[in-house]
Amino acid sequence: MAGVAGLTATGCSAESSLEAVDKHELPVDPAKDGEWISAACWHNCGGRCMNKVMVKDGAVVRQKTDDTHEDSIENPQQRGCVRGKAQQQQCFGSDRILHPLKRKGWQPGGGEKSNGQMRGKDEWEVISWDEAIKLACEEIKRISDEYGPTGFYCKANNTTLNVLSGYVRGWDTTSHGTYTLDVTKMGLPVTDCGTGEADTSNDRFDLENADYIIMWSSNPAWSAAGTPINYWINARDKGTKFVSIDPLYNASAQMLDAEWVPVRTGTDMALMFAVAYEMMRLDEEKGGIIDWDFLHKYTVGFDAESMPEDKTIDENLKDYILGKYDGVPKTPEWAEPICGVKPEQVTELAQILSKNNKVMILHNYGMARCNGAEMLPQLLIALGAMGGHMGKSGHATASAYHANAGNGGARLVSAGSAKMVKTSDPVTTGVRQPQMYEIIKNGGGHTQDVSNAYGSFHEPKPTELGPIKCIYHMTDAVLQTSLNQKEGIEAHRAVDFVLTLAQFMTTNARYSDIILPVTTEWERCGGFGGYNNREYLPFYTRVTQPLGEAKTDQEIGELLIAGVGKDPKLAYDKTEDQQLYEQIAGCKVMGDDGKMKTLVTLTAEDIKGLNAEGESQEGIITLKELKENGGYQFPRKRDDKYGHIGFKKFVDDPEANPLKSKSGKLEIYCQARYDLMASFGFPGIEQYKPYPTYVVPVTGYESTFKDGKIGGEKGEYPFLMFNPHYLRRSHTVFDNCPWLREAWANPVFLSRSDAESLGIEDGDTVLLTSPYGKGLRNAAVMDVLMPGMVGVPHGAWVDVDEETGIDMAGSDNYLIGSEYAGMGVSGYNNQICNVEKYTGAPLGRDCDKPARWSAN
Amino acid sequence: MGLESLFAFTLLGGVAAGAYVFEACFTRKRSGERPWLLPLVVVALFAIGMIAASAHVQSIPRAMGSLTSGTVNFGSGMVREVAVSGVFFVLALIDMIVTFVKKDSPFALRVVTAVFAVLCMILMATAYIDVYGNPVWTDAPATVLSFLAGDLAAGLGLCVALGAADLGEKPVANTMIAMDVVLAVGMALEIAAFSAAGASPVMQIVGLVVAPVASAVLTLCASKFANKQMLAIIVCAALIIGVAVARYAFYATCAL
Amino acid sequence: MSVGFYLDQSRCTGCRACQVVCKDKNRLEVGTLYREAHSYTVGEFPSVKGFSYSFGCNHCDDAICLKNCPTGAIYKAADGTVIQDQSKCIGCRMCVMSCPYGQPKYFPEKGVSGKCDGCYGLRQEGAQPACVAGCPNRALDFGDVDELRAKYGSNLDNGTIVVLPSPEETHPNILIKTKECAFSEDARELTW
Ligand SMILES: Nc1nc2c(c(=O)[nH]1)N[C@H]1C(S)=C(S)[C@@H](COP(=O)(O)OP(=O)(O)OC[C@H]3O[C@@H](n4cnc5c(=O)[nH]c(N)nc54)[C@H](O)[C@@H]3O)O[C@H]1N2
Ligand SMILES: Nc1nc2c(c(=O)[nH]1)N[C@H]1C(S)=C(S)[C@@H](COP(=O)(O)OP(=O)(O)OC[C@H]3O[C@@H](n4cnc5c(=O)[nH]c(N)nc54)[C@H](O)[C@@H]3O)O[C@H]1N2
Ligand code: SF4
Ligand code: SF4
Ligand code: SF4
Ligand code: SF4
Ligand code: SF4
Ligand SMILES: [Mo]
Repeated sequence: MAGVAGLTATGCSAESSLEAVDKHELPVDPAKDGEWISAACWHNCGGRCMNKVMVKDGAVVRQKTDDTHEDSIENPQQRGCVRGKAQQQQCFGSDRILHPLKRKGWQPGGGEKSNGQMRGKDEWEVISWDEAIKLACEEIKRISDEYGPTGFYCKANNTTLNVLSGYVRGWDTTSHGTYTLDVTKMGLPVTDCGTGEADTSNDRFDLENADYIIMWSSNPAWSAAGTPINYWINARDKGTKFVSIDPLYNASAQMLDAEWVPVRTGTDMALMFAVAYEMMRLDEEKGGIIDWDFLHKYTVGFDAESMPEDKTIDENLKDYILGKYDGVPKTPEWAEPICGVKPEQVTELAQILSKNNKVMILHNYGMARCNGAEMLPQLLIALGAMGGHMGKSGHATASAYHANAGNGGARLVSAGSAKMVKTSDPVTTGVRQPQMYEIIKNGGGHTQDVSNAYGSFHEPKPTELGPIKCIYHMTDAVLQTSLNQKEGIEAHRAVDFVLTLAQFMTTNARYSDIILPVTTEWERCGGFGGYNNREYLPFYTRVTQPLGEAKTDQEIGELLIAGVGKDPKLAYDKTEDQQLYEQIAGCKVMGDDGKMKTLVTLTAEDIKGLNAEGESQEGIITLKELKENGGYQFPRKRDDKYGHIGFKKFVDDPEANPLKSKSGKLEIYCQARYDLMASFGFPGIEQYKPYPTYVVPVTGYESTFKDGKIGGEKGEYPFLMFNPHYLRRSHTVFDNCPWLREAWANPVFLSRSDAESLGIEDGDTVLLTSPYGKGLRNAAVMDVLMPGMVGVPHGAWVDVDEETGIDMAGSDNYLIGSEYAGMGVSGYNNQICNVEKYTGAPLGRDCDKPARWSAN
Repeated sequence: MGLESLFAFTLLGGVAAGAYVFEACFTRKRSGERPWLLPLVVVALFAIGMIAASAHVQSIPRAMGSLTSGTVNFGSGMVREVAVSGVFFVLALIDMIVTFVKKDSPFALRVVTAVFAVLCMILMATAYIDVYGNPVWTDAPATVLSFLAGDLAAGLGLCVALGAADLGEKPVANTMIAMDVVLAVGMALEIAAFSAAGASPVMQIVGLVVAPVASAVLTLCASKFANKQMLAIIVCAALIIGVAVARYAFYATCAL
Repeated sequence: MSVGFYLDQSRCTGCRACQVVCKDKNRLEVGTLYREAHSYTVGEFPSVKGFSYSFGCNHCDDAICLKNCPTGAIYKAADGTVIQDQSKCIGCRMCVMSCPYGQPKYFPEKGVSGKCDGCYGLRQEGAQPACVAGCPNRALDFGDVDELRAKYGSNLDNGTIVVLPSPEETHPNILIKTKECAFSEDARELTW
């Protein structure tokens, strides 16, 4: 008996392994013989990677990422992140909106008929496209006739709406925070990122030349997922040391083993002043720290010797830091109670920033998305200039943002653009987005119009707005991603009509009356996607025919415009196929001579195949290659001639290459930017000067104390809340994908010491309360978070319990209100809140909950 | 079914095998009105155990398939356990039929069957000691001793209850005490194993008190009981319940 | 011959791309993971270090899942890959219970278990395992362990980091370029 005989052999040796060949068939790839298609991954996600899907028997059965060439650091594959890999669950999600939907309780005509209080609670009914367009257009015409173009609101700029009705826009400082407040006036490029030749950061191969890289508010592993982090890893492996200045010892810092300088959110200015103070002290004591020549040659306003001509006050940064004006030297001991950084670490940072070290200060914008951070861009560039850290190899003071994180410089390959008929909004008024909701609720009101587009400010135009009766949602997720969400919901319930174009039951869609189903990029003819990095241009094509009755934005726009009796050609004078062809035809690649050349060869047949009209052309790759490779990657070599050093031209010859500021130099004292801010007439401007000073934010660390004074008794909202951009989502996108919900649980980040004192354990359900709203999340108790800080991941789809008013999803913006002070920055990262253990039923895992809405 | 099926198998089958062994030890020749009673109970319990065990298998056709395609893994503890169990069951069944017909069966057959019973009990235990995913199970001395001693002690209890052995007889009483001591050691080892793995040993403690301790006390005080039949049943019940409680906890340490 | 995985902790950010890519390749629903990444920290604020690890099947030399599988559904391919033939699986879960790495997973609705096959089919087509090809940080590799050692150096850990069970039981084919903190007994999971 075999069993008996083998009884003594309890070990598990190879004797028990079965021969595969005769007893089993070996596995084969089940997806074999399918077709790989380059698929879009098109979100505002921080990366731009290659995504391919295998289509077999009409269904997507697998995805993969770049395997078009051998992987090397010189020529990396453009591998995607965790989200891109779940893209199929987005495009084919059970919550895709497949047919036009109408809210049951809504009727056109306004007032009572709109039954607005039921938005977000009502049921949906499927209606035909004809009916949907008819209903929407009837209502749009009625509102247009009664209230004119200012009866409408949409956050984003939109061609269809420009022609359809016009609309009041909302403006916001979103991504770049206070860098949107025209930093060009002080000599920085627009928003200091991805600006190509003008980039202030260096080419990726230069990272390894730095002795130190200071990651200031920077977590590329999460917010620039995909390729960029590999450049940083390469630098680390080549000996560059990393320092992370962040309230959270984030994933990038951990992986790189960076030295951590924990700082409270919204208090970086205090830390920067103290570092500058220490640099001056150390320079005074032992010398060799500050690059005075650099300061005097390339900047104005640091000290009395170097004031700009247009100055209106005789003050400078140096004397402010030394305490000459307010009697308070900005010492590490002064800063510590504010920012929480130990004085020894401040001194260490000052030493690191010495002119004798090669240092790159690479920052992201989290710290600029804080109340009171208006002058931060100026102080940071001053700090870099003190050490002379720019314009040279191994040195930089710059942003590391999005797909360009750590890879600055002009595009080596770029997509063309289709030349379309120009449209413009008949309304020029822009309202600060969070104030918008109040205006809508009040049936109109006063606004100080200082901008109506991202980052473009102008002299204020005081404007009285009448009632806004219709809200449009075209291509953003504004009700989810803007401050003041709770009031936003109320505003949505106050108007006559809310029209949303949506792929999913997004928050915008949920609180609307008619939802028109839009295709995803997988259902369209193809494209390139924005935000690509300088070396790689992704190109994608159609994966599937439109799902359900979904239509493209253009098709819907045409239907709407025609529905109000206008000519769709006013907005769309070319087919989508023709536009794609023009984009392809316009692709450019860097040539040997430093000039951009045509990338794609197009034969007459190619053009016919694209359903377009045009001339054939000669390039360096064929259309087939572009398609099959999923784009084009510019081949790089470590010592090739395509490197880039930020500010180099300016530093090499400042007279010949002046900056865009008035003085042509970096303005540490910048009258023009100050004047712009002062012109807004916003309250609180008294705190500001044309050079950086410490400003007590409207809401910030100070507000966590009862009397607003640091060190006193803690108030009702003793914690500082910030919103890390989280790897489950690209803002709001992907939040519906089961695999991602399982992979990234979206907890609230709590420090261990706070959790312990509140009796909260890892996994416990926690109630977050702010002055504006309440939300629930499970606790992630961590040692890598500075005590007193609470991290609420950005972008979770709000899920308000109508009984209790508590948001079950932990939406960041449900906890944030609208602050009518500061210079208009959306201060996501220094809000205040309270945290307590929740006594109700535990929340459970997000991935076990049904989708918000399901088509089936 | 989850692990309940394995629980039922090793408990019922183990007790049956244990009883068979002791009957062979204490009664060389079967006699009395119902000589077939013990073999019948053994076969019945074992059959129920095997049926329960088969519920653990999600697909009998696939199990058969592995037989026909020759992939069966005789190196696996489970297959050895099943194979020996099968042999034991067949032998016990023959023994039972012979006994039905002839009022007794050849002692040699019973000895061979008893040897398989012992193997069966050992394999039921050893099947778990290389289940590395479970630190309680892989504690070999604890697992083997508590299984084997539990089966034997409860089996002896069953013999006594069925009248196949008499607690009033010194050798039987001594054997019972000895089994209780070994079982107590096994359960003590289990308590240690549970604690080391961070699992609560409460049910093992309950098992220890209910099975070896209680049955030993009752056995030692046997002379004080008038109703010997009742005493035998109580001893049997205590052992089976105690072993069952402890063994259930043993299975419950597996998350499945 | 043995094949196995290589993981470089100095590159792994715990991003879980490997986890999702594996679900894609194996079409796994929520609740079943053949590969999962976790992050851990060592120390207390403000002196903390962190490490991540991506857990999967290690195609062990002494694969206890194979040893304990009654039907022989689990076998080794000639290259050493530990593969399960689901058509022979009777759902007894011995493999699931046996593996100290918690690896084979049970599908209650289907009454069978399943496990990582090292993407054997993909490798036959000349591709890398999906998780390896999908790791954006190039932290993972797969192959013949001797070749992996030759490629990444001999100074690799064979699975003794604190979050793994002792490699003595099954002799896993895992080669880890470790972070020092991954050996600390005080490691705590970071559940962000
Ligand atoms: N509290 C807090 N709020 C924040 C931030 C924060 O850190 N904290 N971050 C801010 C930042 S930096 C940003 S950039 C914003 C982002 O804010 P949004 O731009 O509003 O955010 P997304 O989620 O990217 O929104 C894109 C929407 O477009 C939809 N969409 C995608 N493709 C198409 C298409 O082809 N057609 C149409 N019609 N729709 C499409 C998507 O489904 C999604 O709903 O959020 C800001 N909000
Ligand atoms: N995964 C993911 N990636 C994304 C996005 C996404 O939604 N999800 N969105 C994309 C977009 S549009 C944008 S704008 C970028 C945003 O990218 P980031 O600005 O990099 O995003 P954040 O996560 O908000 O902030 C980065 C780091 O700053 C820290 N931080 C927050 N406040 C402060 C502060 O006051 N001081 C200091 N010193 N540090 C602080 C945070 O802890 C975090 O580690 O991400 C892009 N990439
Ligand atoms: S970083 Fe963005 S483009 Fe790249 S895979 Fe992730 S979601 Fe897609
Ligand atoms: S994909 Fe790579 S970096 Fe991300 S968790 Fe997995 S092994 Fe680590
Ligand atoms: S890790 Fe587990 S499942 Fe994988 S071969 Fe080893 S024992 Fe088997
Ligand atoms: S569940 Fe399937 S693969 Fe696992 S041990 Fe049982 S028969 Fe073998
Ligand atoms: S080798 Fe394949 S099956 Fe195994 S963990 Fe990686 S992706 Fe999953
Ligand atoms: Mo952004």
